[in-house]
Amino acid sequence: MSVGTILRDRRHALSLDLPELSEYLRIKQAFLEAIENEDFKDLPGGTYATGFVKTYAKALGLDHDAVADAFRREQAEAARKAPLTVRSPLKDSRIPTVGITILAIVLLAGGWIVWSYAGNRPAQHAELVPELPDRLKPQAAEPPANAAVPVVGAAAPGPVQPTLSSTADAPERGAPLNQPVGPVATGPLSPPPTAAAAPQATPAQTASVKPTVPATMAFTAPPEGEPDEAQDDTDEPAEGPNMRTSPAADDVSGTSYGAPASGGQVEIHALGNAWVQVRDGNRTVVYTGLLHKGDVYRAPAGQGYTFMSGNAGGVSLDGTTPLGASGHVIRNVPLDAQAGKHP
Amino acid sequence: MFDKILGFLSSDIAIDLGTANTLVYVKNKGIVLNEPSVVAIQTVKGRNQVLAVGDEAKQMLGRTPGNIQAIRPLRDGVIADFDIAEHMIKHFIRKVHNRRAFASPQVVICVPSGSTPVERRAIKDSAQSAGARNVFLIEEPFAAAIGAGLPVTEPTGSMVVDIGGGTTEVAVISLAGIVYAKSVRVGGDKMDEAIIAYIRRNHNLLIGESSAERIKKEIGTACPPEDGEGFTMHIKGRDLMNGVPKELVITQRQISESLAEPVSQIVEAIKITLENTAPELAADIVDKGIVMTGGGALLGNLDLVIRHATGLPVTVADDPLSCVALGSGRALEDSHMLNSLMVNELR
Repeated sequence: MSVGTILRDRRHALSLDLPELSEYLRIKQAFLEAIENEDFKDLPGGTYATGFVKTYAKALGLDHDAVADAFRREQAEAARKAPLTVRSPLKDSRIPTVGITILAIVLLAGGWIVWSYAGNRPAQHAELVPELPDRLKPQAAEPPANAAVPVVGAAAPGPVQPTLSSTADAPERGAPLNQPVGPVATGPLSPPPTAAAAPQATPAQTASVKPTVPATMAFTAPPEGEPDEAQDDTDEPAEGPNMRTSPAADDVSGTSYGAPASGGQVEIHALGNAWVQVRDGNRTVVYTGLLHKGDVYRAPAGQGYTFMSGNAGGVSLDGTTPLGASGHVIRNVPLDAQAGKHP
Repeated sequence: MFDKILGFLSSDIAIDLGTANTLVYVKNKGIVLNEPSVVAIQTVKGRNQVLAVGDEAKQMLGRTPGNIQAIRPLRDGVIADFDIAEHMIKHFIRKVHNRRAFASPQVVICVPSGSTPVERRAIKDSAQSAGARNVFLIEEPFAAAIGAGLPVTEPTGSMVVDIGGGTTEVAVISLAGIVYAKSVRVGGDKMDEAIIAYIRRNHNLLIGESSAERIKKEIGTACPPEDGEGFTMHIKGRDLMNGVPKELVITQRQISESLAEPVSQIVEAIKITLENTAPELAADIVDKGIVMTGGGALLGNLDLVIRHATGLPVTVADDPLSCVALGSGRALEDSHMLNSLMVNELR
């Protein structure tokens, strides 16, 4: 006999009704009915169901332990103790999931492959022009000479360059190329930024000293006029407006600086690389620059010019005798006819 | 690393360190030890040595000569004598490990929910100096609810009343945590004392604690029998008037009178807890009622008294004496639960 039946029979035998028992036991009547009908779906879980059965049996004067044991045997599922499932906090990880990681790696790899393939491809070729229609073919055959003209024009700076090389200035310069050709006034101010670039561009032209001479003349001529303006902003010897066209230190032929040769001038001969600064009688700087071996600086005509040099062993007034030991600094060396005898 | 090696050599245990009895649950084995929390100390040339622990020591309780002391290191659910408690825990750990050396288990220990941080610290330190590798503390009503099989991890309120030797813990539990708990220092001990006091006052007979406990277990009841005097029992003790041993008969009605005071305190604690329960949880509890665990739940008709006082169905858990130990053991075997115990402790 099942537990529910035992309990109901016992209750009938004692002629008790459910509401009365429910009031006494404080167990909901629905629960007691469920126990009698053995319908445990709506009963609270294991321990409670067993407890209710036990309490009910005890109230009816039955051996409650025996009834509870029978209930546990019969209704193992209903009497099962609650499982222990602890809720753990939701994962708040910043590490992406495996799927996202793999997807990201694949996308990155694909992107890199596409990029490197596209980057290594040769430059884009011009689109092929559709073939000439037949009606135009006769015309196309006629003017081969004319067709070539625009090509020459577009490339003008290149091919024309050789023709200008005699000006001894930067060949790449487009418009400014004209300035050295127009010799005089623009010379002193415009060349500085290009003077440094020019030598690199034209190492092969170093031999063509002579064409440059007019340019240097144009530059160095104005000391009497407005020397300050011309040279105050040119303190740094390396990029000074010396119009030097020869960067080759080994070039023995050298370059001439200063006043044009007119005879009777004192000349500073460079025996090695030497920095030289020339001042006039008013202590105004007339020239500053680095002379390379073989270079010559001609002092302007007149009295009171002096110069200083960072390398006494590298400068000479007569062309052979150095003015001092190599590396010594000499100052205020007069530049006149007798100067050569001073040191 | 070293801990892991030690872990292989030792089996993790859960200890219900009760005022009256200590139960030890060994992982994957179940409850292997259930002994009274009593230690007998013998003083030899000024040095204290442990003479006996557990059952043996309990028999000495109240029957010791001058050089032997039978001590209950726990009072009111917490450690009262630190050294003795440590000896006792060490003895039990050794005993369940069959005196194997190098035993360094993880230990789950119950503490009353009302214990202070200092008391918890004392229990933890005792277990650690007794050789535990890791100590997790679990609150007694929570362990009791797990042991009773209540759905503690569900989002539904469960009310548990754990009447132990030293304390009565009343708690409402939901979602693996205690929502509200009330701990009163009334338990089996207080009932024994009440019985002793009643008999001395009304019969001028002094009885010992063990006798009182026996009376409580055999004929103790929370409410007077409906008809007459109920069962009777012969009790023996010392007559306070003329100082000679004496035997007399005591009835169940008298015992129920003597127990009225501690029982009403327990009922009061339950009522306070119900008053402090959130309405949703109260709604859950109305249907399912209260579950009683602990040795006190076996006191006759206590469930009836509580049912009448609260108007709620009252269920006595199966095997109420070992609910706390079983629950601690289940927590020990569930790593998630252990982690959450650790979290709760840090809080």
